[in-house]
Amino acid sequence: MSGGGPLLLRARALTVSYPCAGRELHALDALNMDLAEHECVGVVGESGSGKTQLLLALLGLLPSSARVSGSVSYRGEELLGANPARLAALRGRRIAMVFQDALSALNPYLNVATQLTEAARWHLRLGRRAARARASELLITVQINDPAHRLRQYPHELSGGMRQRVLIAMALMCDPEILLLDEPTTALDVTVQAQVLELLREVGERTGVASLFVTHDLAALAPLADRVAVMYAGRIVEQAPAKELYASPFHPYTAGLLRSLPRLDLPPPARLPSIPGQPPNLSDLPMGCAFAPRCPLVFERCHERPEVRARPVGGELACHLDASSEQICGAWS
Amino acid sequence: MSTPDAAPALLEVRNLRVRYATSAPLWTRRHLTAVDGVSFEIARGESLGLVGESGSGKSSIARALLRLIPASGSALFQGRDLLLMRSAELRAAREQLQIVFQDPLGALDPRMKVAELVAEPLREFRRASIRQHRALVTQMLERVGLGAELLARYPHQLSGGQAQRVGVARALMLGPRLLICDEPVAALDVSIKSQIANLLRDMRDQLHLAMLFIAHDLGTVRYLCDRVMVLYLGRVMEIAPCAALYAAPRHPYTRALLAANPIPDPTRSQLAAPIAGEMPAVGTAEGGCVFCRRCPMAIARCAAERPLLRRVGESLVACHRAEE
Repeated sequence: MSGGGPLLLRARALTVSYPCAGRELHALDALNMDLAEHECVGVVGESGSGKTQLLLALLGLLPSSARVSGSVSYRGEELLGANPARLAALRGRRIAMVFQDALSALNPYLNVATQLTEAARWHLRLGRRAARARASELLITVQINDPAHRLRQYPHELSGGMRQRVLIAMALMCDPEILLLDEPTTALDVTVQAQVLELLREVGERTGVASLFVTHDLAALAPLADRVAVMYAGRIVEQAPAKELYASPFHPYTAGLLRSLPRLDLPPPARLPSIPGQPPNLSDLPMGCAFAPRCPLVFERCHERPEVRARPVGGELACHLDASSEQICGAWS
Repeated sequence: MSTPDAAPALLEVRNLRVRYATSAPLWTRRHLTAVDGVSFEIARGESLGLVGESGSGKSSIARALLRLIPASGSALFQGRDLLLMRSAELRAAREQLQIVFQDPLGALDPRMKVAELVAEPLREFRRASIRQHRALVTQMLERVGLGAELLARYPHQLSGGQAQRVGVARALMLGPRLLICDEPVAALDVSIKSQIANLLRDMRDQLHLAMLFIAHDLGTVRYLCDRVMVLYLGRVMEIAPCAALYAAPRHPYTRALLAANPIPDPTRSQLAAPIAGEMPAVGTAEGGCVFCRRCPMAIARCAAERPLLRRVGESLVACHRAEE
């Protein structure tokens, strides 16, 4: 499923596993995902759900020990097994990434100008002066004042929010079609997070760049994403247009995540619903649905693997249950 | 500031000040004030939430109360000043005053098994005979929702949620009166956060614990605390009962924090950052209000005159324009 525009990225049956102490560790399990032009797709998951593996697989950056199968294509061109030179030409040029930890994503020995201009000088063959001009233009786009001064500074001289803005500017240098955002606001304070989320939306509207926004935070995603995919144990268990997913979740895991958030816009609950147990061990997954051991609505069929099917209202779902969203949400209270 | 009832407060902090020296050579060394004259109290069985962004001084307050870093001012705990105690007295006070840390794995010695980790406080304070330890440990683990099969595990064999439960078990082993929680759910996975929040609430209710609950997540604070204190750059901006603070925040910074908190509902969340800029570095405060450079309501008086905490409705607010 996609947002309707021409497809940029398409993953089909994408499977990634690692040999681990004689066993197979399943990081991604037959995952399908589409990203269309100008679209923002949110990917939500906890640690170990495979969201970072998905980003690395899309960029062709998985370690050599990974066993990969399936397909990842960019505008119809297969990327799995593509030659390294072709991948290098795409990375940073067509597909750019914004990392979570801005301090470790920036080189402490190089000033902002050198790091910002590197990709443009390489990919676009811009001269030093032209690249610098483009860099100051982008610093203004990401709302950093006095770009000439900032370009001369080093990462440690910038505040956390400023570093994250520099990373976003860096990703935009070559005017990419796709931004991969890996928890871009997780390390930030809440007032700064609000600023960066607002900036990301403005950048999306102004440049038309499509984005894949990976996070564990359903709340941070809400104002940005057109569609949301929820990952659990390497699978997408539910994906739908954002409004429908938040309003009526059909997977018990999605419903549990939404219900367990303490919300400020609703009266405080007498008791916060919580998902029992813990995320599964990826090298020892249960036979059927990986969420079954923690699911309040588990029944016999859950021992069989739930295949992806159409959601009752728009989107896709990997769950055997045939119940209304109210019933599924009700199971958590 | 008065406690909810007339009984003396369990903890009464007055004018707490924490200063760090910069690492510059002695003759150019400066002192940075991380906590600048903070006063509050906690009644028996009461939970106080401590909210602020990084650099606001929340962890410094926790560490100062535990005497892990030097501080000035006073902190009366059951009537005696923690900051003046000598080592024997302090050791005795710490039985009553325990902490749960943010990083659940970092707080556990990787070379000790769960059984030893949870028994350590008993051994350290020579409570009960060694023979009784095992039974007490199993009991406590059960209380925090862990099975006896974890007794022989090492910290690296635990999940984040399990490790945090071990951290809570350790802190509760000696039956403290006051539990300081330094962002205990911040590092946990979403599905685990609410488990630990519920565990802390159950323990608080069952054991009549008082809590100082440090967090940047306003939702969890509202769920767990009776009152909230909002800090900015080492100073108290507002203290109020939870119900009052969330319904009618008086300080512009409190309002900004509440407005910046994202709502998990695309039809309701509006994307407009409530305030620009970031909290300046510690030590850059000048006269006047520390928040005035980012404050949408700032007037000339705010830069000139430091606002003192004063009562407005149910809140104590440090703002010249709190009535508006």
